[in-house]
Amino acid sequence: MFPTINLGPLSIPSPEFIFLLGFWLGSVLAERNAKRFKIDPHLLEKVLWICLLAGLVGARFSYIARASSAFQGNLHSIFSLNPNLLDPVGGFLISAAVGFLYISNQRISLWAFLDSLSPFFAVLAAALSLSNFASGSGFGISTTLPWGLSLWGELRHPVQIYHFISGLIALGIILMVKQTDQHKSGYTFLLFISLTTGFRLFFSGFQESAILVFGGIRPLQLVYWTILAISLFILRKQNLQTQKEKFDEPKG
Amino acid sequence: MSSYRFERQHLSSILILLAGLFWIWFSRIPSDSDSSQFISAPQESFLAPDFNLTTLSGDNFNLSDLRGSPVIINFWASWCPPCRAEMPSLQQVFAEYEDLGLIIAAVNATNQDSISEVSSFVSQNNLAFPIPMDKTGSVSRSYNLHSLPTTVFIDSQGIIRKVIIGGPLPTALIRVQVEKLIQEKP
Repeated sequence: MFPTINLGPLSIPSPEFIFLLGFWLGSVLAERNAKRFKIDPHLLEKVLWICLLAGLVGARFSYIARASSAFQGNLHSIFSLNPNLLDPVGGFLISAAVGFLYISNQRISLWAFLDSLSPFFAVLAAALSLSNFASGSGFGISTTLPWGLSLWGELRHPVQIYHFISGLIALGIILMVKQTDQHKSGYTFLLFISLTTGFRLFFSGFQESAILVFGGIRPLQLVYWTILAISLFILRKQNLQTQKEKFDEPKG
Repeated sequence: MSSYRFERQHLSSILILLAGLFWIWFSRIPSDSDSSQFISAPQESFLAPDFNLTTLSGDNFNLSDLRGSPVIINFWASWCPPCRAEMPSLQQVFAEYEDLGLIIAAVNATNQDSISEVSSFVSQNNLAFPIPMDKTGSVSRSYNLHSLPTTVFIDSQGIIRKVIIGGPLPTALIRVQVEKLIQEKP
């Protein structure tokens, strides 16, 4: 656990720093791969920055909307630089909506754009795992395995490191897989989603969870399973369509 | 793609999803096995490490005596600008929620501060909550203090709900966290 990086009198919050570093690395990687998916790298960069800005502003507005009474008589808190006054879910939804509207307006295929963003999402997911490791959140259940981390009086599964490594594996796979004619637009993105949710579904089985449902089941695993099922279903649908198109093609 | 390969992919998808369901059930946590609330650690969801200190006014301050009330522990020093900046906000929230049982303790890192500076700052700002004096730094160590200020929000069961490193904390943020603690109060 290293919640802050102390540089002389400066104390930098490491989880936020790692996340921003991940955003930057992910965007550089996505821009370099954009041409593979016939997407203009400059446009991709522009959309990412618009989404980041919309996400930050949206996260603050969403937080204010959810806790408006706390700001009464204290309006200057609205402009506080404190990241704890951000609602990540609200920010994500607003950022995604703005990105979607912008892409639709530019008449770009959403699936092709998501394909080009896959390396960005993969790096960001890996960075998020490291960020959790730095803050100590999302820690593992106790273990006797030799690689268990001594944390708060017990050896625990380093779940954040499992997620980080599996995130890098997913990134490696999507960078290696070639988009062929057999693959429709969206294949790389759906492959990334399937790999990420599959890995996370498995490794979350070693994660401590304060919220449990149906006799001890982690709700997060159910969410991962549902997303995995949806992505596999769409992949199958796309495969069926490709097969049908191939079958309908005039021969000779 | 051959029909055989396609069907094989379809079958593997179904097998993956079935294996996923099995794993979710197999890796479930029995509801009585969560030990974190019995272990004291300076981390969210864990029991707040107990401590006993003498306050600036000479009273005894024991954290475990405060079970049943939501508590904010703020680690600070008089030379730290963000610590100084957030004290009026803490005082304002304390005045608003004191009647609802909120307790604030501003633990001074006395091992790296001057008592006269602390006294002067507290009287200038009319701080009404206790100022436990951590003269040896033992409480700062038990809370794994990385930087000042650090604020720990503890529920009425003594469980840490939120740790915020750095500041100054806006009044709205302290209010939101306090409201959560009060709503959770049994």
